[in-house]
Amino acid sequence: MNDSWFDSSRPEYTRREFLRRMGAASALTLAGGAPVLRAEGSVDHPPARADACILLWMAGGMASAETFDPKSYVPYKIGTPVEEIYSTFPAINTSVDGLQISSGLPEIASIMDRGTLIRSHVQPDLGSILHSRHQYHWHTGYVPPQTVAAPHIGAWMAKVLGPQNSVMPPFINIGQRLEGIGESEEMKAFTTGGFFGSEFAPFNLPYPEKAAEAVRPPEGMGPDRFGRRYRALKKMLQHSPNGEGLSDYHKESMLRSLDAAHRLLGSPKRKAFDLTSEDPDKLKAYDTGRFGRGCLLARRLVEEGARFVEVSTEYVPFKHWDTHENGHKTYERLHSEIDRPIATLIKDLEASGMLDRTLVIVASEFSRDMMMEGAPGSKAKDQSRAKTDVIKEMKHYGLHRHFTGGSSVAMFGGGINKGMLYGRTADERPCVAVENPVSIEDLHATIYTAMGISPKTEFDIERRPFYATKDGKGRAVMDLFL
Amino acid sequence: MKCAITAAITMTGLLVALLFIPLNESGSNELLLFFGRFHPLILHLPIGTLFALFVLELVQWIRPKYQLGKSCEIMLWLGVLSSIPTVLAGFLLASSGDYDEELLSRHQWLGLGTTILLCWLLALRYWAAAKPKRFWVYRPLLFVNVILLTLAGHYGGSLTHGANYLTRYMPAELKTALGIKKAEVPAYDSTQSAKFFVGEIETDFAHGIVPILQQNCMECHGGEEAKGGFTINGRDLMINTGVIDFESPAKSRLIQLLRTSDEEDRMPPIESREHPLPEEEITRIEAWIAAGMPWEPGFSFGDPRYEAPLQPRRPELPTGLAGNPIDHFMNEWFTAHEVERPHASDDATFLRRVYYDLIGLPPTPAEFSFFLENSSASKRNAVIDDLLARNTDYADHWMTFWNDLLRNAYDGTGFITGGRQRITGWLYGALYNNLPYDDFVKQLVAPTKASRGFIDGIQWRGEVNASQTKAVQFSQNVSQVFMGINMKCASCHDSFTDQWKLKDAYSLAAIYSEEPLELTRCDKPTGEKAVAAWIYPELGTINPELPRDERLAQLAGLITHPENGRMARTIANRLWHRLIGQGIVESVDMLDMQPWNADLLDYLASYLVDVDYDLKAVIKHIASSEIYQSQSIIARKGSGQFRGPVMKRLTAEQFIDSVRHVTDSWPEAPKIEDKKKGPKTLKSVAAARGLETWDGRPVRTALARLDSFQAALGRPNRDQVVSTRPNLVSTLEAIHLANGPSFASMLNEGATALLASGMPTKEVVNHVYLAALSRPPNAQERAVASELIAQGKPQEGMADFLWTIFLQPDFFYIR
Repeated sequence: MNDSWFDSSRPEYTRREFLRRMGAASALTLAGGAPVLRAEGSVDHPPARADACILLWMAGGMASAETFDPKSYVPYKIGTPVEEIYSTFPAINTSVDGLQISSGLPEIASIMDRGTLIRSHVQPDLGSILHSRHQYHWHTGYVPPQTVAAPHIGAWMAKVLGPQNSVMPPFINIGQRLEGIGESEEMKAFTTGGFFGSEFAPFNLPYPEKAAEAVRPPEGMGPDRFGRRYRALKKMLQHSPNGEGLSDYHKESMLRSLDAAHRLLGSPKRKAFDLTSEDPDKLKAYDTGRFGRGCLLARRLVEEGARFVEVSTEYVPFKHWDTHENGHKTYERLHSEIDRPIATLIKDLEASGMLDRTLVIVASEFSRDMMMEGAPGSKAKDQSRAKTDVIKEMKHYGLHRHFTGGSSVAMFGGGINKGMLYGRTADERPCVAVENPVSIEDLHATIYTAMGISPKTEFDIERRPFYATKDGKGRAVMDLFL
Repeated sequence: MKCAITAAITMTGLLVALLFIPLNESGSNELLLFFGRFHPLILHLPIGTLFALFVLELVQWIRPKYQLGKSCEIMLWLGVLSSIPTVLAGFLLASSGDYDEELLSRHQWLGLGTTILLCWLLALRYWAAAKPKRFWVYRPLLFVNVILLTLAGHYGGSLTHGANYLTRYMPAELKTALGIKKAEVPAYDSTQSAKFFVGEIETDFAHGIVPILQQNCMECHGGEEAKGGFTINGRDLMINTGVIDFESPAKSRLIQLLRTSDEEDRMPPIESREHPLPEEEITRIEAWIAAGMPWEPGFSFGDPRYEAPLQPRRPELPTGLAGNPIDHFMNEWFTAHEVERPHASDDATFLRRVYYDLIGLPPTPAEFSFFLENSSASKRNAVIDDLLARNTDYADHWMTFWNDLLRNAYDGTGFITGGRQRITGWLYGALYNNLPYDDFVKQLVAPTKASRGFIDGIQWRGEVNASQTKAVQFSQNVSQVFMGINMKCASCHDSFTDQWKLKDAYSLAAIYSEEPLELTRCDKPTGEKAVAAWIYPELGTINPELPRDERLAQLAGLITHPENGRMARTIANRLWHRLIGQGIVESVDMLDMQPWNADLLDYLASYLVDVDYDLKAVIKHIASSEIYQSQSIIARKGSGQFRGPVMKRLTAEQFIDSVRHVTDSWPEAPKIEDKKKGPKTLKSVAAARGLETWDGRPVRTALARLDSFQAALGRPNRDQVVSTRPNLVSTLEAIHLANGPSFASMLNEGATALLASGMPTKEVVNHVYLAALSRPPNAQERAVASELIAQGKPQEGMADFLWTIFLQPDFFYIR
């Protein structure tokens, strides 16, 4: 049920015991609407290779031909037919023999030998490109609309694995504003604990540099006053005439939550949220912008025991990776925003010995193409703002259409192979995945397997079994593991 | 040529011999099976060669000057030589025993025939080359061989991929044109005994099959369980999941899963790694399928299900009953179940609870004192009447409940594309004017422009799963909200856990849909068209020929039909749950489950009808009962049985409103006349109250936009119908309450207001305790409070004191 984080622990009962308890408790459970873990005993959780997961989310559709999967490069020249252009950046070598990625990412190139690159991640054609819908699918494993509130993969990890310690929130979401931007309602729909409830919802930190404020006493209140206030509350509770009512389950649970909150707000661990307490040279290495600072924050949080941290480059319609025009120039900027922070994050985790037990993923909701919208056979409407057959100005130069037929995902640490290339896309259009396609279900299954969660884990909600991967059918790609 | 004849004779001998040599008879030699598996690989060589030969011979015949003769000979040699390993591998593969006997036999004979004939064609060609006229023997025979090869290949394909491989996805029109019939599920006479034969032995369903299924399959696939979407609860249900192949039982997915050598896939799991299901039992199941799956009539692996009644029912009341009939039924229930009745609650507890339940605000200290000092015997009823007469306060509060239930949001998903509409103005008006519930339902189901947002659902851009099209959403939402029927399961397949079928969900959907609707089972179209129909035909029917508006009007009439007891029971249960904290049917959205007090539920439903569907009258009736006016129980985790009213936590809206109310620090209402900036919600609410301009009344949180603080406190997104909110306070909420900026400003504003009131500290403390907790503080509490207020700056001290009040579980929970 909706226990405070600090009660969460995997129940140890056998399957029979569980089914017996199910019978008795199911009525009240259903009344409370709480999801029930089903058949824990008969689901084999794989051994955990990672204790924490960091998702570096390239929001808006990162063109793999301009980043991890470079294809034939054609420099900017007025008069070039658009169909000849595949990449607007030349390729560079990486620390993995025979593997090249796009120029503009030299530091990431130098750490590719620490992880695996999947070039054949595929997404389904939803008949229309609406970013938030694809992001909902990627983050929950289910295509909306759904009859129940589907939880975020971070919420699944928080729920099934529990927190690593009693202070640090298990699920943290960095870098994405949820108010005041386009499609914010749709974004909120999946940035949630879903039917697991708000106990497993993300701790949202849209501005990494302000994260410390989120775990400090309110503005204008010093720690003395903060502590005094809480102590006063405790005293009042002691003197309250309704003492015997305090053994009530609801009240107890609330007091536990309050305790947990104050523990975080008073704990030395919350220094992790404060970027100013990082070594200034290190901070400078990360500080290419909001995303870079977010990477540093993620590292610090994971060091103090966060379970799942997502750092987003932020989705705002038509901005950042979501280039509907001017792709090349925008990507020049984005390259420099992500290159050093991602590389530094991996190197830092490696240096502290945490990389082996921390899974780092770089992913996006789909890729991009110069010419095709969606995938072969899709009915998706062309949304490019730079439609042309021939390059006439800089704004035409770049990948401006959404492509779901094959995209790149990089994975580091957490038991993943080092220096491996998995899957391939075609070199000529359509640049679909031609070898070892990996669906969202299978990618999630792989991520869950790394974390020690069976892809068949299910909860009973409104008497419907709801699985961690769609219908429990996700299959981990075991070739990706060491 | 001699060479060729020798070769032909040798080959024929070899091939015939293969028929008699016992190659891997036991089928267990893994090495031989390994080689056998190359058969489907190698055979492509002789096939390709033979076809190429055929073409070359054709061309040679038409254009002799190309001189392709030698090439043909080479082709023939290649074909013959590559046939040897092919046939050998074929025999080895056949030894595994994995294949259907009859198909295998045909394939084998045709294949052998093709190969032997090919050998003789080789000899024949040399013979014909000597005298060209002889080609007229050779060529027809070659043609025959190609035919043989095609047939052999066809059966080979059927062996590997299944007999329906080519026809599975064939368009229906083509199937009809070719005269291919749909694989029929064999009917069987259920009046016959469920006997069948396994080889020579006769057995029956009950003795031969039930034990196997019960011991090995029940835990995951029977009763309420249906893992992997497979259930054994009934014959039709088993067949509908597509795992049975009546034409070749051995090829049924069910049998394949039982037999597969892949440990990951094999059923039953875990146990079968050590002890797979014995072959004898698998064979028995196969034979059972071959016999058409005879089933014991009426037998189900599911528990005997409670079926909720449809008709309303008026339980008997004793004559001359004094007091509230609700208490009569509750007292009977307490006695029958030997549960101790809760004691009556005191005035203070009652007052706080009834205020929050009816208007969503705590009583002011003045209202509180007045009530406590009043010695009238009927004061509790008077308060209930007064509160219900406060139309605006009532509507402001109940908007929360109805917005959740009717999925009405002020912002949210779907508005971005115009695929969603609000019903705010209509809904507020309905609550403000206490619209009778039957009219309420009718106006939602057969709507006007103002109320149509509910049935229209949410349209997401792009392709949407069949179970989430607007028509099916309609079916789900109307069933759930008004009748407590969970149609979500039945939107994809016949429900495993109650009586609702896919057809039922689609019949309702077809009432709403303007285009023809095809039943889609588990994402696969079934070819069956949905016909608009009502799910309880005993009450009446829908005429599918009528235009949509009239169909919806008919549906509205049927849902509110006086004989449809479900509608009244559902709303009665919801109201009871709102006030008492625990529904008479535990899950307020699933009235197919058994109520713990059927008499009470039926009585309440009949009462609703008696008062002409006046919701306020029902609320009053419940609130004036002794059970409502009892002390709330001390809940233990996991305690299921009803023992009395349950503590309810304040909703986000109630919490924020209370903070404002207690400190009298409501923010100023925005101007609604401003065409650009005035919030649309307030405009429609004002209009519903008959106002042209906002009358300066504080804007209750239920009418405000959802913000992150409210979301943290549990106000939902309203993408789906929400009928209950969680009763616990999570850690994230606690963090927001401990340091969130919006709450901090609320406290500061409250502190400012209290300081500005001019009351001395002692009075303020008294006032706040009375206003927030409906009781005066005791001496120690007063001491702690005063000390805290005196610390630091006045603003700070006061705000901190307020915080300690609002964070007490006694404030957060309504006893």
